[in-house]
Amino acid sequence: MSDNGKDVRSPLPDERVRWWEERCTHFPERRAVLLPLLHDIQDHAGCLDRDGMTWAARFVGISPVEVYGVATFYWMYDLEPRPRFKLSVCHNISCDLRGKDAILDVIEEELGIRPGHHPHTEGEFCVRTVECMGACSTAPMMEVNGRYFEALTPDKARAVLRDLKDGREPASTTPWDTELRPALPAALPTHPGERLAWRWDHAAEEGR
Amino acid sequence: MSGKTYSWPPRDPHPGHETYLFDRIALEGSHTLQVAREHGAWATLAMALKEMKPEEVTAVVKDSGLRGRGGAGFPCGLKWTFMPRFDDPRPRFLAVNADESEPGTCKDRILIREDPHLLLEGTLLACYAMQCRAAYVFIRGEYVNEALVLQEAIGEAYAAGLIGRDILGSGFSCDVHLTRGAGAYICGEETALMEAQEGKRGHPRPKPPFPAQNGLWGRPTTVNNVETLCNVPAIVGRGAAWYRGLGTQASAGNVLVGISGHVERPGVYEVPLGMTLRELVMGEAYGGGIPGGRALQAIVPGGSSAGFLPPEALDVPLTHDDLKAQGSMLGTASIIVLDETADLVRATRVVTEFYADESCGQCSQCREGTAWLAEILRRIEGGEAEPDDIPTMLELCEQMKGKTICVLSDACAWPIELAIKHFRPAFEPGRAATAAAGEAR
Ligand SMILES: Cc1cc2nc3c(=O)[nH]c(=O)nc-3n(C[C@H](O)[C@H](O)[C@H](O)COP(=O)(O)O)c2cc1C
Ligand code: SF4
Ligand code: FES
Repeated sequence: MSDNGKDVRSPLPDERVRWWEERCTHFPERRAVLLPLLHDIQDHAGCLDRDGMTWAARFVGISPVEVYGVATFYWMYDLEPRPRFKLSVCHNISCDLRGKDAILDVIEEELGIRPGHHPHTEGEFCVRTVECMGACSTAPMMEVNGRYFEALTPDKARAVLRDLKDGREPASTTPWDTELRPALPAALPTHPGERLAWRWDHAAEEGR
Repeated sequence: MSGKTYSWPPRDPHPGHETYLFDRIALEGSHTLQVAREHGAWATLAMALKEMKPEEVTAVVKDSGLRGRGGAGFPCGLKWTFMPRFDDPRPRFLAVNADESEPGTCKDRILIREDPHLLLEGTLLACYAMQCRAAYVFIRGEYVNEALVLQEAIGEAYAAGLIGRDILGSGFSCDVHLTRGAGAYICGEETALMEAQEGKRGHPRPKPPFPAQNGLWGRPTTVNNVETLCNVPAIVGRGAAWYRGLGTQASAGNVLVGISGHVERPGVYEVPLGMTLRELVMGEAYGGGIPGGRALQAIVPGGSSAGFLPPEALDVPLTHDDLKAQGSMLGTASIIVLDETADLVRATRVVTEFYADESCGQCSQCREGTAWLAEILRRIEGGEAEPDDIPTMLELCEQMKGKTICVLSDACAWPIELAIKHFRPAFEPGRAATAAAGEAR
């Protein structure tokens, strides 16, 4: 990847750029905001394309190729556009023992696709299997666009998929519903402003 | 449910032992500052800032015998004393490890989402004890909801003067900042965590230098797990002697035990260390036994890296030393139960593929070893075991241990060695092919 010196437009609204600018002062180096910043760009632009990465590189002050190296290291970044619904099914040990195969069967029946470890796209859906998602005691699980569906049975999984296909918001698959259901991109959290104890002056940090 | 609980999902009745980690999680609105404060949150910090010197906080934690809950079990107070003396002018940091991704483990997630103020109070107490300028919380990217809850809680605590400048008028100032990761198990390893926090790939750093000398941005840093820090308010508030009264001599306190796999009631349970695996797996108040009255085949006591133990291990108490004596470890105290219908070779293959996927690739022993082991296991699972597979695997395991930058490589080898030790015939030639062997990857 090279940054051919062209001007890249900000993938984020001005208000958010200002928010990230403030957030940079919480860390000794601007680069510290890179991972969450890439999430934000992806949530806005639909994926992390070349322009998004180049803009992020300029913003934190590193080269685009370094950003590319980071973006490809973590599985949650999409370097190409994905369809509307991104489904991840955990295939690790606890979910495997509790019947993740039956969930994959239901996905195959409903969407006509058998998820593997690489993302597959079918219509509005992109599905893949992933490693442990931290829902082992409520296995098996499936995650859709950041929302967890836990303690799944084939019937519950089918109901979720049908709701998604029909454009309805699926109900929780557990008796408790703790999900805040953030609409991504999420709203900006308020920053501590006045009460913040320290701000880093990056110019002064330079050369240390 | 309105009262205090000991489990997630919350259950009645409380079995009666002393609890302090999950007390608030079943309350309506437990994640809000108001509810948390009405039920005791932040009172210990206020007391400590007023009445205790930083060294005294560290001393109580050291005397309590608290050991890290992130997997390695290192004595927490002792780790805090590794930080430079207070006359060292460099800013120092606490890195909060909220990257929970060890297969079988789902306890930190519940603490963060249901009682973020417990974590924040523990974090501030730790920062006060070590005089940290800031705590940097690194949370795994998949925990979107948990990150939102925690960010909200941080905002509320700032607004109430509990975090930030001149906390509660004490003169002590400290910030808390939250960063979301983007999906990589290795970022839970403490030095990889620091790399990711700095906006880099999660490549573990060689040690030494140790984080206490050279951590985040080259400054002195202590890394602690979420659950470890959640123990701190109770210890500082009620004292080291009280804490040592829970659990056992060498493994003090309560621990969050995740139970998953083939049990009637999977869940996360707060129990004193030293409870037997039998009580946890079979007890009515906990796992509730194996469904359908089936027989137990194997048990993983501490997350996937702890490996597979045979049914005889049921009488082993859940402590650091007792599990070590079994060639296993307490790890993250996450129990995975496999009944007689489970395919042990498949389970071993699944966790081995996990390590192969998550190896960061810096060390050849780990990068090549994990992939090679996974390949052999896939073949055995498919019914094509060869006579020298077991010796080959054991030799590979030997070469993967103690030779790499971090212990992910060792963590891949341990479960395989234990599985071969206790379940050798399953890996020998003659095994029938299973339908699952061709699973799409
Ligand atoms: C491969 C690997 C993954 C790890 N993952 C985690 C993790 O997800 N969460 C965690 O707290 N500790 C994890 N650890 C342990 C940390 O390196 C470190 O020991 C721990 O965070 C220290 O905190 P504690 O002393 O409070 O337990 C991991 C270690 C290794 C080698
Ligand atoms: S042991 Fe594996 S995961 Fe750890 S640094 Fe080496 S290659 Fe990376
Ligand atoms: S093993 Fe599936 S969520 Fe942990």
